[in-house]
Amino acid sequence: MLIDIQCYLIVSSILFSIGIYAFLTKRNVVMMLIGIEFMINAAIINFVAFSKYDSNNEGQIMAIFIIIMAAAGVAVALAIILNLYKHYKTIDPNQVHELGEK
Amino acid sequence: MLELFFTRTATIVLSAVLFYPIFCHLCAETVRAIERLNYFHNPKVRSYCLSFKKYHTFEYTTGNKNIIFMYHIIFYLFCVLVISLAVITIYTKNLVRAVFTFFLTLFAISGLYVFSLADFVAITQIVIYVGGVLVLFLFGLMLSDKKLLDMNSLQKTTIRLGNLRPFVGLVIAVSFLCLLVFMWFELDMNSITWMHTNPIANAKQHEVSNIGIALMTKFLIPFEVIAVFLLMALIGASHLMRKEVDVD
Repeated sequence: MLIDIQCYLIVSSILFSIGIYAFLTKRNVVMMLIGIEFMINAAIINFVAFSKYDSNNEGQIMAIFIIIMAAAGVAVALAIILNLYKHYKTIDPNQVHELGEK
Repeated sequence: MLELFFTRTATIVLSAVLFYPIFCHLCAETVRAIERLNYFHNPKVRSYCLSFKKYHTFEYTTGNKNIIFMYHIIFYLFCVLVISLAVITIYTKNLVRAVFTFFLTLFAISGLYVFSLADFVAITQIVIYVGGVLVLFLFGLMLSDKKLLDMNSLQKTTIRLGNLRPFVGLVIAVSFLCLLVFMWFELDMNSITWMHTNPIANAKQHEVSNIGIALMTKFLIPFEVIAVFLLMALIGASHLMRKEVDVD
């Protein structure tokens, strides 16, 4: 009667491939970051869906850890993107060749 | 204009192709749900289910056809919402719109968590992502230049290796999707022994207090490590964002 696990898995794999598409094709670092976030969320959906059958709830705890990690990652990534924009006046990854001063 | 037409048509066709399996599953699930109704009118099963009434088991206790149907309809609505909002996020030209649609996607995903008996994760998703990450994203965008918000001005560069054409990216993404879906269907869920437990039977295990107990006992070291990691990320982010000051 509960919803089958296959449905969660299919939704998460569609979300994951949307993230892959965004990461591969977008020419904007913020959109690439959003693609990575989609992939992380697909992973969390899988963890939570499998933890439904687990009596120890370990999947949910892992999901909470992943959410915290993703938030920290977004904080650092956006700081890097703003610095990138300050230096290069663009957020197109193709036009960024150097790590240091221009 | 023609390009816009093609993009929209491609989006519609792609989403139709993606939603078709889910639609088929929806039909099959509905039929199965109606078939199983008789099972829940059995008084023995009903009393068993009533003992776990507290947690998400309303659909087992009632045996009401409409409620079971609504339960599935709302779940598949959330699935369709997640995927369609994700597609809209990818295809939007305006960056601010894309960010807001991204957060609508995250809201819909937290709905999926509720259906998977994970209340606490759903609330965490809403609090951390929408309370924290949305504000971060918007501050990041608002503090930057106007040119950053206009995605069209960024599209005029030559294509290099790291950045694929949309068609190539689509082919890679769809082939990866086919691989994953094929794998999920090939995987024999009956061979995984720990999944044989009934989710209704251990509904009591899904209380929020159990997560707290697990975090303070079994997962204490990861919990502390992630606290230090969060502090590191905070310091690192504020260090990266500092104003350049000449010391000399």
